[in-house]
Amino acid sequence: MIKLLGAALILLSTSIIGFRTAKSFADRPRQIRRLRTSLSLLETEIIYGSRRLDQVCEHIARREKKPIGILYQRCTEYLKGLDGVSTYECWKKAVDEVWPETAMKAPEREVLIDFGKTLGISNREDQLANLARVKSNLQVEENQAREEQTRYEKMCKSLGILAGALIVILIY
Amino acid sequence: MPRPILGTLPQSLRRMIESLPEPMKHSLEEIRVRQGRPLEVITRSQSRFVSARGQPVQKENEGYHPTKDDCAKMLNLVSNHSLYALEEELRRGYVTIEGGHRIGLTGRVVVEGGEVKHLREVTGFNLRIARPITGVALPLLPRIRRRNRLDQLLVVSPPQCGKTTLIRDLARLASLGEGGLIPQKVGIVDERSEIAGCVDGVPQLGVGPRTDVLDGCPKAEGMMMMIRSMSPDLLVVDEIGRKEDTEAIFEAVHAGVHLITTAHGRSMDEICRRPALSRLIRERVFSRYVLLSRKQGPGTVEAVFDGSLKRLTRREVAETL
Repeated sequence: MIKLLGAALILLSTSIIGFRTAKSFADRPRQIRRLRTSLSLLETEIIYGSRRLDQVCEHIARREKKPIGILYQRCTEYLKGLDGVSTYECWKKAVDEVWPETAMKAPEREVLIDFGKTLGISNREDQLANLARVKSNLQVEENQAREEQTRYEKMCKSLGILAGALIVILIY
Repeated sequence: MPRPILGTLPQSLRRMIESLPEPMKHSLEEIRVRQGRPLEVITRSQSRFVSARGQPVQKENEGYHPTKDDCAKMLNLVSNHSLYALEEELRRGYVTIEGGHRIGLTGRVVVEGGEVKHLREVTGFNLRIARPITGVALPLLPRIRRRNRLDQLLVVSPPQCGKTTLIRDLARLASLGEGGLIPQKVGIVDERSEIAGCVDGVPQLGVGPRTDVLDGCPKAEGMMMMIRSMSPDLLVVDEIGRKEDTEAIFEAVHAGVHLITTAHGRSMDEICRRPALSRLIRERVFSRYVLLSRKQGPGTVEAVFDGSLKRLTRREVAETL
């Protein structure tokens, strides 16, 4: 009886691991897409609204859900509160803090942090060019993430269950 | 010390300014931050450098020298991390902040096609602290009033003599209906955000309750926009002198709008020699001219002239109206 219970537990835990990994594969493209939408919003506010960066970030933070919203929320706080340290540092700090909570990976992070280097500190034309660049870079990452999703999502799920089954059989 | 001014200073500099002696802090007119040169404060009567411990000193080498980092931080604070929103301001060389205070900027200018395009590496800041001076126009009012309205008025003076302060106060008085005037709709076309000191389109300086402001708008165009859209009784415009301004003024005056404006000049002769203005004077567009100087402090009324450039003594004024 106890043996059976143990087997069920093993199967359950490996399946959970499998599903979780699968979910992160599914979340990544979705979050990148959200990020791109939020950048479009940023673009509209900067180029056409010509609003201050801290106000824009606050506005986006209120509109976007977790974890993208939190990124902007943090950025707003740092822009307002950190005694004039550079925009890049504020942005990087926000990205660094939010990253563990997201399903996104290193390439997107590079792109975003690189974008921070130019955020706010040049004229509108330049901002527009930078936003276009970061969006297209993110698009590339999104496509790749989507490809990985189709390739690995299902596999992870079945691998979880099968691995559990294998362990159970071996132990039995 | 006004809070918006302190808000633009990085912490290091803010602490120094805040530890200046009280009387000095209250009479500050300018704070000058220049990268690599001593931090300077200017009051009405004196100029001092500020030491790293916030003491006013006379010797240059005792003053605190703001670093590149200080200047970079300050630019971030002044621009709120949004240089893209300040394109126009950087081209003009100054930013107006909440409270109507103004920050002049210098640095490396980027030129494109012979025009100033941008300011790069901002290394010099001049924080000019605005102190609202109300009521300066009251003593002058009886000499320029026509019954209970203001008439076409040109204020002439060299820079820094209180032209803008005077017309701001006139706008306020007309808008409120004080000093024997009836309350009127006032329109201000504020090309350089000096009259009303707008931030996000909201006037920061006292311009009266019935006053509409077109902020940052070119004068000639702005006057026509005002007349078309806001039907003002009185238009207030700063520093005319270009050809298109003259045209717009003719239009405005013939549309039955009263006009208060200013021009740079030391005397009426000088003004008459300026081509755009001389035509207005010849055609007697203005019915009063006020000449200002700094003889007894800014805003000293040197003389008042009537439409034919006859100097008016106090007694004559009453008779000609």
